[in-house]
Amino acid sequence: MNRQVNAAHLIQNIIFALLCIFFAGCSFTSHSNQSSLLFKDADFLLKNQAKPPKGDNLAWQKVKLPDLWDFTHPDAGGFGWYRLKIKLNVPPNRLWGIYLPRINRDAAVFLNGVLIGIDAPIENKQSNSWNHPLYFTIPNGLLTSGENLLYIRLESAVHSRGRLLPFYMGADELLRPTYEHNYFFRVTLSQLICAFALTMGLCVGLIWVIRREALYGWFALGSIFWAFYTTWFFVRSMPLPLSHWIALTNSSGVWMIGCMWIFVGTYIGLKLRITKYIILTYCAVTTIVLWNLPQQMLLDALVFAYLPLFALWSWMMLLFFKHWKTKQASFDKGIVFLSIIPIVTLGSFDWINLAFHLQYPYLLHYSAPFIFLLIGWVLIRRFTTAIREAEVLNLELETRVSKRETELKEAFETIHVLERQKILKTERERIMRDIHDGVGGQLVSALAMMEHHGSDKSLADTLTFALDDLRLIIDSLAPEEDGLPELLTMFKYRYEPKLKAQNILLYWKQEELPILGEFSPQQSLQLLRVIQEAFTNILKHAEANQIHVVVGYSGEENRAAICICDNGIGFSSAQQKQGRGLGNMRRRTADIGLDIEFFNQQQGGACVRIWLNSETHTAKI
Amino acid sequence: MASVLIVEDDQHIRERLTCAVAKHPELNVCAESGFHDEGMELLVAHKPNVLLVDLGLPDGDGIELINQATNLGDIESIVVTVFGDETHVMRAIEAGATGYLLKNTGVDDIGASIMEVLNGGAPISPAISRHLLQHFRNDKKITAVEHGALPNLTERELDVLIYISKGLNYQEIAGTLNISYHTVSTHIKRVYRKLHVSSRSEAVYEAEQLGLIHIRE
Repeated sequence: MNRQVNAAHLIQNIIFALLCIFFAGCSFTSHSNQSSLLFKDADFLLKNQAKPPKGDNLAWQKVKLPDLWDFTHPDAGGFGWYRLKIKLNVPPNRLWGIYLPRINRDAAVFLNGVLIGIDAPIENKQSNSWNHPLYFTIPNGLLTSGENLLYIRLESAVHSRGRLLPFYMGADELLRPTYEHNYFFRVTLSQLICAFALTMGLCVGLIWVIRREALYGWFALGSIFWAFYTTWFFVRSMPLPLSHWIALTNSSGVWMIGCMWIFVGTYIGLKLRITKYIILTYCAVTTIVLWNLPQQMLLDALVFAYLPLFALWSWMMLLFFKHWKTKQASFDKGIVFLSIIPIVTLGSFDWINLAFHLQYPYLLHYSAPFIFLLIGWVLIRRFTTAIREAEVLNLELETRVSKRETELKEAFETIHVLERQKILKTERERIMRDIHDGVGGQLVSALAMMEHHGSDKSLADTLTFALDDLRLIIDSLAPEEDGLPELLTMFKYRYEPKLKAQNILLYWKQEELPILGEFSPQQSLQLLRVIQEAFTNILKHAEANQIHVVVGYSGEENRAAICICDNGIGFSSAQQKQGRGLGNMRRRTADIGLDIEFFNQQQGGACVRIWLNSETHTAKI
Repeated sequence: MASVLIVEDDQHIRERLTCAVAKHPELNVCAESGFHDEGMELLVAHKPNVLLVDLGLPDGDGIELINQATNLGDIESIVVTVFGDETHVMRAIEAGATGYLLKNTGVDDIGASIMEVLNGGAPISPAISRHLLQHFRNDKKITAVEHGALPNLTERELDVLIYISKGLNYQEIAGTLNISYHTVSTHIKRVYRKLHVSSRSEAVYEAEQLGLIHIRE
């Protein structure tokens, strides 16, 4: 995508640079030749023969140049001969030439009976040289002092606007640059414009293939027709008969104007539902009519063929002004409007030129670079903007999809965790129910039975201990993530009545505790058993009447700990070293990765301190 | 004198309970049974002041007896449990029970525990307290669905629950909140009643969601 944008940017910048060059290039002007012979008068004779007519009995007529056959010889066709007598005092001592700025349609030049040039590219075949300036060099020695006879043979069909404009004879180094300049302007430049229009049409056509947007399609079509239309100005050797060639190239002109009109109308947002079909129908009908007209009617028919289209363009300008007033103007629309101006003005000029048989050069096709660069720049800018918007949209979509994926993943994980918790909860409830209704109930029942029958107290104590252990198991199955605070409070809750029954005061201080990472129910149970054993030891051996439990941070190491102290007789050294109860507590704490220590207090009484892991953060209980 | 109906399937425990109740001067056992159906008949027939009931009966669920007692009115239901674990106790409280009694409670203490319930008290453990807190938090979410008036906890009731969940006993809470032991007990009982109302409201809500009833019509 970035490559496309960069490429489009590059093309956009190139077009902009070409526009600048075009405007700068327009400032050059043609130079004129002032050191040559200009011929404005000649003798004329209609004679269908290939070589200069000879004989005194021929009816030569005096004519002024330009000689326009449609006015001076309206029904003439075939060969027309122009004769000029050139008197030289001294023959030229350098190379001379003859420069014919404009003729219609084929010409051959004879000097002193010698053929010095013929413009037909293929012998015995009509050419399309009406827009080509001609230049023939005069062989050295052909011009002599005294009178020289120059014959120009002009070939034109009837009603085909045969004409010879004033022409020049002079030194080669003077006339040739003028000829070349004129040739470049009328032929080479037309060829370049044709290539440019075709390239532009194909490029925009490619965009149309990608985007399928009618706007690009109409512009591409208009450009391609423009290229065909321009061939009328430089193709001499035609692939078709002259009449069909005229019909084809000028039909392309009609289509070009029509497509461009639809393009501009579509661009500025005109509703063209009916107008569009009218224009296309007109173009099609015009093409068919022109194709079938005889050659002598074609040029006059063109006047009527173009007229409605230029009227349409004038209407477009009015519409544009109206549109400009009523709707919000934009920079791009302004540029497109600017491109209309040469179509209307130069097109009108060409139409007047054609309609009134004027001899000025046709100019409309020269406006192609200006128009195509402007509109091409606008279209490519529009295209790059669309790509950029698509890129932003894609990025946004990708972000949204990624976000949604994350949400889905989180939701899935949450559901997974919840399902797992639910399964665990259900299983835990089942186990608890089984214990409650099974072994728990049986233990209580056995205790009740023994109480009723007054059995051995030690056996009852054993059963009571088993029941207490079952309660620890039940409590350790708590589903909370960090159930240690709850387990401890439950332990306190359960043990408090027992201590009360033995007149032992319990002081319980529970602060914030760390979350103990992977502290499983089994580990919880082991810890509770250690605490329970500590309490049992106090009840059995310590002879204490107070127990102090502190749960929280302790010692200089700032580690969390559970500290159980009493005010009894304390540990004996033998107990600390070899006591089975304390050994069990050490083993259990080591099994779950905790540290335990036993010590006597200075003021009396024993203490058990269980160190908890403290690498994690704390949680409020 | 308050009459007590005992429904417990274990004969030894039932006898122990009967004996303990009978020993108390202000209590008398009006009937006892080891079965659900019989217990139900006795409940309707005697309308006792107190129902002592085990949940796991051989021919039915003790919860139904608690429900029936709640419907009959003026009967304090006390669930008899081995561990006093939240699984059993919460179900019973939701059904309308106002207390629980551990099966191995000393014979001398059983009568006192029943009298405490009759006098407006209610036993509670930290685990049950946590569950109650969780339950009422969920309740607020349901209220937010425009479900209707659900009983929310008062600030003081919430304080009591939080302290219990932290392991404080009634005396410690009374001292901390500067209220009497009896007041703490009363708060817990109110919470139990609210839980019962709440659980009924939830049932109505669920029924409406399932389309079984239409309370808005």
